[in-house]
This record gives sequence, structure tokens and C-alpha cells, in this order.
Amino acid sequence: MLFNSLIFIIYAVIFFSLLPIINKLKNNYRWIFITISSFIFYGWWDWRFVFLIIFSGLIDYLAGLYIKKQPKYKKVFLSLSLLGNIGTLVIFKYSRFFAENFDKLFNYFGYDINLQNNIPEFMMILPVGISFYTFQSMSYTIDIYRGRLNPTKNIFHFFSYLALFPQLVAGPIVRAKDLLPQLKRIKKISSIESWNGFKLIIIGFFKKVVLADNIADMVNRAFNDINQSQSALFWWLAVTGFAFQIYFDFSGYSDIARGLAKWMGLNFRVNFNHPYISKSLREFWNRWHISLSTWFKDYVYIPLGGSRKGKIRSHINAWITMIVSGFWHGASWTFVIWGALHAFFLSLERIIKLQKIPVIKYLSYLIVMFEVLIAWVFFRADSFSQAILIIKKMLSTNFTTNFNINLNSLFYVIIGILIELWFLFGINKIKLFNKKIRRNIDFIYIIILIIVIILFRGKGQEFIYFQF
Amino acid sequence: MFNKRVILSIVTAITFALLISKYIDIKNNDLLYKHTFISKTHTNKKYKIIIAGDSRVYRGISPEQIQKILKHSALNLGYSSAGFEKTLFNLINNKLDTTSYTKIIILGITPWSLTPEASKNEHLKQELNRKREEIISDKYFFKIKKSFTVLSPRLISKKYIKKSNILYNYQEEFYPNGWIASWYIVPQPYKALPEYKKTFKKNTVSKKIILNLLNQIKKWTNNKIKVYGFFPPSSFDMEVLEDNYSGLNRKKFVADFINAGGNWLNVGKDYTSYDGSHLEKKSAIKLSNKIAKLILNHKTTNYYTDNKTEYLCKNIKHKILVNLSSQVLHNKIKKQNTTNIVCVNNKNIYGSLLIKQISQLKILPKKICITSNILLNDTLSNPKLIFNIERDSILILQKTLNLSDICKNNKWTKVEFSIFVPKKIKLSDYIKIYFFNKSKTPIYIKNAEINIL
Repeated sequence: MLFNSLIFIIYAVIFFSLLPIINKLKNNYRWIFITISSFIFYGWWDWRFVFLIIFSGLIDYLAGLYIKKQPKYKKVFLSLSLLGNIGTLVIFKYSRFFAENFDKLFNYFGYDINLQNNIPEFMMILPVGISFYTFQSMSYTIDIYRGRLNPTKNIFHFFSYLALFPQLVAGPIVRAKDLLPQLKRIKKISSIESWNGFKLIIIGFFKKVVLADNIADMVNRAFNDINQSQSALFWWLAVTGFAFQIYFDFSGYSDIARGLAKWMGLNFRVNFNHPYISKSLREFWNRWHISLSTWFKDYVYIPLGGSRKGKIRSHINAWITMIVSGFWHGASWTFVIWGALHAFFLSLERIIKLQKIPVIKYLSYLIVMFEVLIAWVFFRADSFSQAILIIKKMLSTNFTTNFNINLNSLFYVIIGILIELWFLFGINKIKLFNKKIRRNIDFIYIIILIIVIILFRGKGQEFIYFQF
Repeated sequence: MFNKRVILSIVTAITFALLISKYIDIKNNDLLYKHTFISKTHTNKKYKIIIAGDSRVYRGISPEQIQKILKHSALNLGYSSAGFEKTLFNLINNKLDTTSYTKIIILGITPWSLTPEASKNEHLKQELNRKREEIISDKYFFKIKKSFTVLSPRLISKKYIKKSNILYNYQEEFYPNGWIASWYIVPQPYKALPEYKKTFKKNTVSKKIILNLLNQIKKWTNNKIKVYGFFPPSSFDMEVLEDNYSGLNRKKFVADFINAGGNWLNVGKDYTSYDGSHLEKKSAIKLSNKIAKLILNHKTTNYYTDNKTEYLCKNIKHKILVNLSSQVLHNKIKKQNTTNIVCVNNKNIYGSLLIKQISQLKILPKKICITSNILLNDTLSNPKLIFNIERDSILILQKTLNLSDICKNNKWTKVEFSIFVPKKIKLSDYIKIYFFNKSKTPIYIKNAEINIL
């Protein structure tokens, strides 16, 4: 079920009408209600997906219980849990990638193994949001293994955490130690919280439906026919368009998820904090997809040794983390290169310490933007060769303006840039009016946003991060 | 969720959005397009007449007109890039009222619809595979959705800053039984050609697909269903292109069609296409009437008539025989024996056929037709024949014909280029018709003629 669909609005109205009634009953009923509702939400794509999440969840639920019960064998249970989760990911997400590459490798040595054509059909389907819930599930058992979390004995409590519909398919990746206790408490939602949740939902829809969906046309046209223009200016505009499209698409989803969670009495942490106004790439990663970057930091970078084992090792660890993060996004070499490029720029930043050079200090925003945009090319391109061609065009000296670009889309990119500048210059912090007037302005601002969403909606598109 | 402020803001916003939509009154063509296809694909109604084919059918045939004349219910089952294969046959069977005495299937056959690419039937399958919720939402909420317009900064700028009455060049009207009447305000009669040429390079008519279609026609006729076929008219250049590249032998196909039990309709060619492929609204109505009348009067034919010449200019009011040797009008065109060469030695050379002020033509032209025999040595150099209208040295209309879409290497080809002149044209405007060639490869021209209607 897509957030930007009519069926979801009907679903949400029914869910939030019933929730206050269910909240009056015992916790167990609430968890059952949330679990079943979330399964309906997820199964709307394809009912078979529900069995996968149940299978994946059951492994972790049982592994969590046995890690606690039999600490002697906790490594075995943790391994089983990791094997189950990573195995599911490999089967459904990476099997084609591995088959294709093994085919190429064996072909190189003269063997025709033809793995690709022998992959069972069920492995060709990519269940929506599989990467998100397997990571969420894994963090549950790892935290129990590390002694940071007590496993829940109630299976519905566990599934209401794992399958919670607002963040199930595209995050934010919420940790069990944050969410399980929240799910235990029945919280009465105040009118301010309800309004704040609504505000988040409307802002999320504005980002997705108005900004991201309208920018999409310009980006899709450019990447569908890369020979349409040789102009560097055209390609910088197209890639900037993509940078803002993916940002508004994904952060819009996160905002809607956070808003819905607020209506359920739950609190999710901020997932995006204006990443394009970062002065360093490191800062960018503290602002972009925060729940994923902290997940990788806590469960990959730090276990590898982090920065505790010397400078060189810390660089290597960062490279491994970024490459794995790239691979998490998609089963393609372009994603791996995207991760590696970020690792390269991060290492470069640490070695050269550009920010300390006075002149460059002021250019830091542009340098970060340059690095991020170059890396986005690999993220969006269909192939390595396409990405290289685009980058060559971007770095060429051909600055002709004789190209066709969707001016509507460009308008929304400019709006996006202005929004980020608003936050860069801290205009949002200026408080000209008293609380009462601010409340009224807030009300009018939300009404205007809803009108804009209705009248300036782009062509409905799926959220980009669903594919991951 | 059901906070007072939340509800109040939603209600206020929806009311304002409705009022703005009502005031601005711009159709949401994407929504109407989707609705047209969902309705015809997922209707439970049965029809006595089914018209099927690709976009030339759903833009070119009005079931309402056919209904009027034949007095039987009709449905247009045309889909973009559709091909004649199982999926389309099943849908036709599904929508045809087999219990009725009158059972008619009209097939609009284009060369494209007999190719392997077309038989993928991507658009049709996309419509068939629509989720239940989309169909329900369209059925029950279409009117509500229709009430809210979709705006864009460009539309607003056109309507309120530039105060333009024409928001889109492409105009569409949507009809309940599957017809989408379409036209360009400023026609672009060669727009579709390059894409067709490109697709026919790797994708030509398949014998297997024709055979399957003929077998299906046999099955239908055995079940007492009357099957009619016709070639949907497009444009002279499109038919030349299709005959050269698609691999369809029209004469043989029509003979096989009739042998399989089908009836062939010779609909003539006296129609106008707005993009070189699809018929504009008036022509679509004319074609629909013609088809209905032919069926009503049992005027089927048992052979294929190639009447391409009907596309050529009629009612010529003013004729200019281009004298290519004149240096005044035709700079940089060199003469070589009987042929003329454009663009020999320099880069970006223009060879002009005509540069005149409208006042010099003595009439306000409605349509200008350029005919010429052209020979290209190298189609890859992508030469163009360009038509411009300029006002105070500002270009107000430009139409371009890519010669490489029509001409084959080293072969004389008769080229027809007709342009509808906008009504707003003034006597002080200039008309320029010229060749443009970036490369040094010569273009040879014979018997160039400009006809003004």
C-alpha cells in the first residue's frame, strides 16, 4: 500500500478510528491489532510477502529467546539469526547479481555454467522493503546478544515492532530497544502531538507529491536518453535534479512515517536533517538517512574496530562500511561504486583536512555538493558505462544552453534549493511573532501546503527507496 | 488523528482547492486518459460491435458515430502500440456480445500492429493488470478526482502572465466508448516519422503474427462473427515509410485477410493527420462515418487499392515553380546539369527554395505543400527541409522535415512536405523554405514545386 494512494487514506482512517478503542483493551490486543493491520498494509503489494516477513521474524524472535535462555550457545543462535536474515536477502535481492557475475567469471575461464537462467522464479521477485526489515530484525538479535536488550516473550509484541506499518518498507530503521518499550506504554495523544504528527505528514506529502514527483520527469528524461545533450550544464542540472528528487522522496516518506507514528503515540528519531547544507562529507552522513548510517556505524564500523585500531585501519573500516552500505542499496556494481566513492571522498577529507584551509572553508558547501553529485550519478545510472559517460559530460567544458529541459521540474529544483538555503541561513529560527500568532500562521501554512499538494501534485510515482 | 484543527485544516484546504479548480478550469488529461482506458478495459457491458487496434484506432475511430449509423452498441478497444495477438483477441471475445444476432469486429490494421514488439501489448497488459483498488477508485472516485485540477508553474505562467489562450498544442477530448479525439493546434505532420523509422529498423512485420491473426479471423467467422479490416489512414509520408521499412505487403495481406473469411474496407485516404500518424478529430469522425456506411451498404472490396495520391494537395490556389537557378531567391544552390546541388563546399550551408513576404503571395495561405524529388548521398548527414514563418525577424513557427526519414541513400525519392499555416499569420510576415545541411555531402533536387492553398 502506497502512502500516496487513496486506499491508504481509507486504511489510515479505519486504523486510527479503531486504535483509541483498542488502546482501552489489554496490551496484547493492541499488539495483535497493530500486527494484523501491518500485515494487511504489507500484503497489499503481494500477500506472499507476508509469509517472508513472518519467516524472517520468527527466526529472530526464537533466536532472541534462546540467546537469553541458553547463553552458552548464544553465538550459535546469533549465527542462525544472521544466516536467516542475510540468507533471505541473498536469495531475494542478490541471487541474480551473484549468478550474473559468477556466469561472467566462469565464462572468462571458458566454462558456461549459465546460473542466471537456472534461478527459480520465486527468487526473481524482490519483496518491497526487504532490506529495511531484515536489518531491523538483525539489530534485535545482535542487541540481545550484546546484552543491551531483553527479548520480548510476546510474539505479537515482537511483530508489532518488526512489521509496524509506518516504517516497514522504507524506514526509518528503528531499534528494538527504542521501540519495544514504547509499544508497551499506552500513551494518550495530546492535541499538540496530534497536530505535530499531522504537520509532519503534510510536509512529507508535500516533499513527495509536489517536489519529488514533479522533479522526477526531468531526471527520468535525462537518464532515459543520455545522448540528448552534450552540455555540461544540462547534466549538472539533471544530476542536481536527481539529488533533490531522492532527498525529497525519501525524507518525505520518513516524515510521513514519523507523523503516523506520532498519531500512534510513538516517537521515531529524525532521519534527515537537511543534508545538502553540510560543510563536510562526514557531516553529510550525520544528516542523511541517519537511521541507516548509525546502524552501519553500530553494527559494522565499530565491530570492525572503528577508529580504535590506528589511522590506516580506521580508513579501511570506513571503506568496508561504505561499500557494504552501497551494496545494501542495490544488487549492482554501480551501488558498490557509489559507496566506494563516498569512502574515497571521506578518506580524502580526513587526510587533506580541506575545511582547515581558510579559502576552501567557505567553498566547503560546494565541495561537498560536488562530491555528492558525482556519487549520485552512479546511484542513478543504469550501468557503469552510462555513469562514466555522464560524468565525462559533466566535467567537459561544453556549457552550451541549447538543450531541452523540463522547466516545471527545474522550478521545483529551485524551490528545493531555496528551502535548503532557508535552513542554511537559519531563517527558520527567527521568531517574529508571539506564540498565539505563530499558532495561527502554522495553521494557515498547513492549509496552503494541502492546497498545493492537491493542485500541484506530480504524476504519482512509487517511493524510490521501496526498491531497496 | 481526529483533532479539531486537523479536520478544520483539511476541510478548509479541500474547499479552497475545489474553488480554485472551478475558477481555473483546466482539464486533467492524464486522469481522463487513465479513466478512458480503465472504463473500456474493465467494463462488464457487452457490445455488438468491437473496433480493435493500436493508437491509430483509439484516436481515429469514434464508436459513437458508428453506433449512430449502424444502430448497434460499439466499443473502441484500441491501445497504444497494440499488436494482434492472444491478449487482444481474448479481450475482444470478452467484450463482444456473442448472444446477439449482430456480431461485428472491425480491425484497424497498421504494419506496426503485426510486429513482434507490438505483440508484447505492454499498454494493454498494463491496463488488464491494474490493481483492483485502482479500478474501484476510478469507478467510484473519478468524479471527485476530476473536480480537482492539476496545475504547474508553466501553466500558470502561460495563462496568467503571458495571458495565452492556448495552454497546450496537443488537444484531446475523451469519449465514453474508448475514442480519444486528438489534434494539434499547430499541426506537426512529420513528428511521428523518425520514431517509426527507428522502430522498424529492428522490428518488422512477422509472418507468424499474420498467420495467427488469420487463424483467429477464421475462428471468428466460423462463429458467425463478421470481421472487417482496414488500414487506418495516416499520411502520405508515413505510408511511404511503412511500405519501405515495415516489410508488410499490403496487397498480399488484404488477399489473405479476405481468404480467411474477413471483409476488407477501402476507406480511402482523404484525411488529415496532425502528427503524421494519427488522424485529427474531424478526419476521425469522417473515417468512422465512412466505415459505418461501408458496412451498412455492404460495400466491401476484394482487393487492396493503393490510393496514396489522395494524400497529395488538392484545390491548389497558387503555384510557385521553383527556379533553382535564380541567385536572388536561391543563394548557394549550384546547378549541375538537370539536377541542383545544395551544400557542396561549405559548412552549414542553407539552400533556400523560397523567401517571400506573405503580401507577395497575394493570398493568405492556409496550407503550403512542397513537392520535390530529392537524392541524398548520405542519409546519416541528417539534412533537413525547413519551413519558417518570421515576424520582425522573430521566428514564430518552424516545421522541420528530416529528409533522412524519407529518402534512401542514392535513390531519388519524391518528398511531400505540407504545412498548415496558422490563422494568425499577417501579410507582413515572411515565409522561408530552405534546406539545411551540416555536412558537405550534396543534396540533389529535381522538380521542386511549392503549392499554396
